[in-house]
Amino acid sequence: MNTLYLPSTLAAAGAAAAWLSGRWPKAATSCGLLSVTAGMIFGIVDMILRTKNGIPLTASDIFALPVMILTLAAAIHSVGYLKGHGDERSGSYWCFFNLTAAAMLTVVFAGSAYTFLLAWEVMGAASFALVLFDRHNENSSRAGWIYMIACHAGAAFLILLFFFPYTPGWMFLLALLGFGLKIGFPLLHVWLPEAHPAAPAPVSALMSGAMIELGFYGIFRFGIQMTGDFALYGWVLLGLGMISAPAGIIFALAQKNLKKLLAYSSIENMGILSCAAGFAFLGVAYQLPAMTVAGVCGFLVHLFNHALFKGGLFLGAGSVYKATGTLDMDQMGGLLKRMPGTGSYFILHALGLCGLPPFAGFAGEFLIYYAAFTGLCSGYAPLMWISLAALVLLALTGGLAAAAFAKVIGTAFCGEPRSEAAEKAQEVPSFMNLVIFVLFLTGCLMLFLIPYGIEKTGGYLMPDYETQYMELAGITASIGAVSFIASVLTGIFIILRVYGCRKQERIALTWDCGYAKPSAKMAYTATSFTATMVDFFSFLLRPRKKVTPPQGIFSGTAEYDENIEDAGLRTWWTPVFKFFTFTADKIHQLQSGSLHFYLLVIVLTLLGMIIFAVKGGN
Amino acid sequence: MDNTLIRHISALAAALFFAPLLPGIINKVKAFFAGRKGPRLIQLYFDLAKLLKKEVIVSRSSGGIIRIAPSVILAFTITAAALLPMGGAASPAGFAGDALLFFYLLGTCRIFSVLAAMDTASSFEGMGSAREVFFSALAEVAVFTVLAFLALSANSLKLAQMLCSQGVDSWMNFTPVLMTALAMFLVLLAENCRVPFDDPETHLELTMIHEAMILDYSGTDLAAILYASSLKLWIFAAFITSLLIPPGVFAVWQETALFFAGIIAIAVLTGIVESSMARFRFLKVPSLLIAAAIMPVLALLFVIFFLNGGVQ
Repeated sequence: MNTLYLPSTLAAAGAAAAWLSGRWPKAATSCGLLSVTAGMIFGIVDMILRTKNGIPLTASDIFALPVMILTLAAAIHSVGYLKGHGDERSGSYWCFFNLTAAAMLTVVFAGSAYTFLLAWEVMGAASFALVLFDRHNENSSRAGWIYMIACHAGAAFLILLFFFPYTPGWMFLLALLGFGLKIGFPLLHVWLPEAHPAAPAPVSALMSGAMIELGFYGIFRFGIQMTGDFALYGWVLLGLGMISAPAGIIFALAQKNLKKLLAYSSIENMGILSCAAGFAFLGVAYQLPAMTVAGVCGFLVHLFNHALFKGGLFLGAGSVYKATGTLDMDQMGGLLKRMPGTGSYFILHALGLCGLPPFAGFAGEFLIYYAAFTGLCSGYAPLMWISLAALVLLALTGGLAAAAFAKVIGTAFCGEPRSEAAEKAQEVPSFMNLVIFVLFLTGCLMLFLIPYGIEKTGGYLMPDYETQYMELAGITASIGAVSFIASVLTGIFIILRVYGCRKQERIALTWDCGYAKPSAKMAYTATSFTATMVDFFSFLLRPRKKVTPPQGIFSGTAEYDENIEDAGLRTWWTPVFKFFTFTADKIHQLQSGSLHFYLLVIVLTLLGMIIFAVKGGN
Repeated sequence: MDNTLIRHISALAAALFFAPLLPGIINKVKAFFAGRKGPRLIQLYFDLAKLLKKEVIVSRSSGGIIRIAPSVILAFTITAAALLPMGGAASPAGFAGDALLFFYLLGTCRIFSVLAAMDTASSFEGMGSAREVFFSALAEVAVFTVLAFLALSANSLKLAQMLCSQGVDSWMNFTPVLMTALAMFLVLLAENCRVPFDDPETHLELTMIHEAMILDYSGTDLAAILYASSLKLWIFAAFITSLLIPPGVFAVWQETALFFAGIIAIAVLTGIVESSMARFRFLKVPSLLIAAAIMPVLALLFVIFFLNGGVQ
């Protein structure tokens, strides 16, 4: 048997075992956990061994590796997350968790279109069950149904794509619609901010970090034809990315639900990935190898970074939810002090995801910027302008991403607690933090592995472009070196400070203009932190505000509430569904219950058909 | 080769040593315009020496970020300075794309100062942070259009080439470079918290950005932050000066002298700007930053259509 399928087989076997032993939650947990971890570890080790034996990694392997690493971490984190959170239903959780993991790996390694489609459907259905798992959450059934509809609509396009031969242009369009629903391209994204916050945190990590990225795998494998028009592929993907990335982060900025913010940030990151892919295709179309190589490398590096860092952030959000029982950032605060492990790893992951040096996230963003600058300097008119526009939008996205995560960290983890739940938050078991930390280390190790990886995979994916990818390998090595120097310098300064200030450090109240008893009420909340930005982008966000200003000299209560509805839902889907409901209501009037009327309709229909047949006959 | 290395290292050492002079120069200029005597030129050195001897007071609310932020900010600012060509000498650590790393290193400094400010649970520091992240996101757009212009006209992403090979031999060539330098000057004012974006001298915390964020530092930590701010001012000034010095016209000593004169001139200019205008209303700041972002794009169009005769 092919070793490629062993991880997914093991996970699927674990799913069956967990289902059968569902009556004994502890047995189900051990079955599910052991089989899925064994499968993933086997998969990773197998990949390392193959590389060692000189067998190059395939594109499938590159997509599968982050899935395996993230599944492994999410599985271990689940054990802690489920404790007291529905552990009596462990059987069904592990069954669907393992099934999702198995399906994701089968999607990547599928040999035929049929296997692929089957696995794709299982992936959607199993994760649907997981979205519904948290039944105390009032939003989860709404989220579940939206997710189900999105999955099925996507599958409908995929069936059209697989079973009818079309021209490359049509195949690309169908793949964009079918897989774009998973990726969350503009307008197709509405399920993402609903479903990801509703699912249990380890599942959100899996979905947001790994599953949506598989949509790109699908587009590349089934939507792109070698005979197709690469310029078209490039323009469309770049255009979609240029909308998704800034719009995603602007919506993320305005959220106060932690997981919803992370979900919108996933839309942003998928937009960045889409830009990278677009640059790669445009590089082929315009014969700019440097741009293609930078686009491809940027895509792959950012794919890894997003999987590991976003996965870690969702797991961290899960730990926070477990400790405080809320996801509302306005109710958090001061968590870094109470949960130092969770807090510091969350901060590290967030900085990594923002693409700030010295973490690996910077290398991915750098390569994508590099591709854009290559396009800018290419001298071809439309490519120059679009590259300039992409640069501006990506820069804005980067700046706003930093703002969004400054908001998360600053209001949830820093300062004073804003609610009793946050005040009494307890650190989660250390193994839950350990997996998040290991994810982060893997992500950071990447920074030093990227040059090596570019060299190795470049030789396999793009053998003709050796000068270009070797150049990029050199550049990324320099980035690693400078980042390393900066980190060492930071370390030296920290040590100097610790030894220099050991005796003369004093803990005191925050100065804050000399108030004697500063409280969390005086500090900025998540909502107020971004209020100016929300106003600035109100053309897109359209916030609905509810303001009760303080009144009188000794004002009792004052209120400020901001409600932001998704733009895709507001401008497109709500009107569309309203129209359908309206039309259905109108048609419903035909069903009057009167037999005469039905006979009339039948006769009219027959008459119409006869006229049609006679006309068609001529 | 070796010569460049020595020149760069000595210029970097000079930057590290003389950076605290710049705030002194700005304050002297402001005092001159106000008809005062003003603090000494080397006042910041005295302040730093005094602060290094004082005890550190850490906020009770802090989760610890405020303890490490000064080290991170100092280390990353120094690393960014080391990437910049100084006095016409390219950095030994330079590579194609170091321009991006340069600005992103400063980005890491910024997010740490924001997080440390939020860590104190102070209302003023939250105010400063919220403004800082918004304005810096817009300033980043301006930075990238500046980089786009420089990369296009130098056909490189290496700071040494982007800054030190701009053709400034005729007015036609010089105009777009000057526009970009002007945009970069606006970025300097925004990033270094000067008037009209921020008022470092105000006595009202409500109206501050950067100064509001550092209210709770003291002792060694405050010294590190103040020193890093002056170094940041120096490297932005060095960026603009390198851009404006024509390559290959002057001898090495002349180039070096011009470089230092340029940095001092920019400090004086900042002082003049600060003495002659008031801080903008915060709601008007985005417009100014967007204007700064558009200027390099205009310069780019100018180069393409007037100098290169269009594109393919």
